[in-house]
Amino acid sequence: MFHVCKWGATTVLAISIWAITVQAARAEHAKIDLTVSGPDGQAEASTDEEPPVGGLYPRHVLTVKAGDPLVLRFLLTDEYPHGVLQDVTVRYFVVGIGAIGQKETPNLQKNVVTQGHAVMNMKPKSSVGAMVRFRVDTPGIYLMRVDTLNTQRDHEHFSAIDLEVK
Amino acid sequence: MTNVLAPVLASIGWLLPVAALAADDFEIVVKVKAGERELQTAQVVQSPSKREPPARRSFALKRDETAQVSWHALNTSKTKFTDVVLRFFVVQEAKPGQREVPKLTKDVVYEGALTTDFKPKERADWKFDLKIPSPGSYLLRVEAVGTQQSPGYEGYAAMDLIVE
Repeated sequence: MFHVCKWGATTVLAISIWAITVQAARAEHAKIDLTVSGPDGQAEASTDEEPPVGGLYPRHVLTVKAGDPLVLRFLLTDEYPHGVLQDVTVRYFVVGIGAIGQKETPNLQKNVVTQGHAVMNMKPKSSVGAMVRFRVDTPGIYLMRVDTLNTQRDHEHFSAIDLEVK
Repeated sequence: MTNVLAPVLASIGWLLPVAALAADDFEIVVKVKAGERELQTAQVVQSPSKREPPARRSFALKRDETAQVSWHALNTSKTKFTDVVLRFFVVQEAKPGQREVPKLTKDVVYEGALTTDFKPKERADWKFDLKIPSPGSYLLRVEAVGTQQSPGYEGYAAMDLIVE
C-alpha cells in the first residue's frame, strides 16, 4: 500500500501537468519508417528528431558487399494534427560518411550514391513513400537517411541507418 | 514494394464522395535530364479513354548512367481536390510504347507515391536520381488517381526510357 503525502501528490500532479504541456507544445509532426534490404539481410529504423544533431538514438548498421543490389523503402506519415504544413520537403539520400554513427550529416555535394526529394503541402495523415533500388560500388561507411525540412517547427524528424560496405 | 506504399495507396478512398478529377484539372509534367540531354512529357492523358493514347516520347540512357528525373503536379482547376494520390514508377516493359502498363510486382526500378489535398494552384514536386543497371525499355509514368466517383480513372504523364 502506498502512502503519498500532500507534498508528494502535489509534486506528482505538477510534473504531470508539465509533462503534458511540454508534450503538447512539442507535438510530433511526422512518423518515418525506413528499411534497407540486401541479399544477406535488412535493417530498419523509425522516427528520430533533430536537434540534437544526429538525433537521440543510435543508428542500426547493415553490412553489405560492394555491388550488392539494395532496396531502400520509406514511408512518412504526417502526424501533425493542427493543420496543413506548407511547402514541406521530404528528402532521402545515401551518402558517404567518415564513421559509423557520425552525428553530422554531410552536405550532399559529393559522395552521394542516390538522392531524391518531394516538396508538398502536408495535411494531417498525408503520406509520402518510395522504393528505390540502388547499389554502392565503393567500400566505406554510408549514411542512409530520410528527413523533413521546412516544417516551420522547432525540430525536424528523420529516420536513418548506417551502411557498412565491404 | 506494395507493402511500403500500401498505406499511401489505401488512402485513395475510391468510394469517398469527393470532387471528380478530370485530366485537364491537373498539369503533370515529367522531365528527365542526363548530361546535356533533356526531355519532358508533352501532355496529360486520361485513362480510361475512348481515344487512342498519344505516342510516348522516349529518352535514351546508357546502362548505369545517372539521370535526374523530376515531375510536378499542379491543380489548374478552381476546385479543391481532397486525398489526391500521385503515384509514379519506373518499370521494365516488353517494348517501347506498349499500351499495357506492366504489373508492378517485378522489374520495378523505382516507385513512389504521395497523398494530400490540392487547392487551386497548389502543386507537389518530386525530384530523384535514377540509375538503371540493365538494358531494356522502361516505362516512366506519373499518375493522379483515386479522387473521383469512377474507380479506375486516372490522369497521367509518361515517357519511355530506353537503356542501351
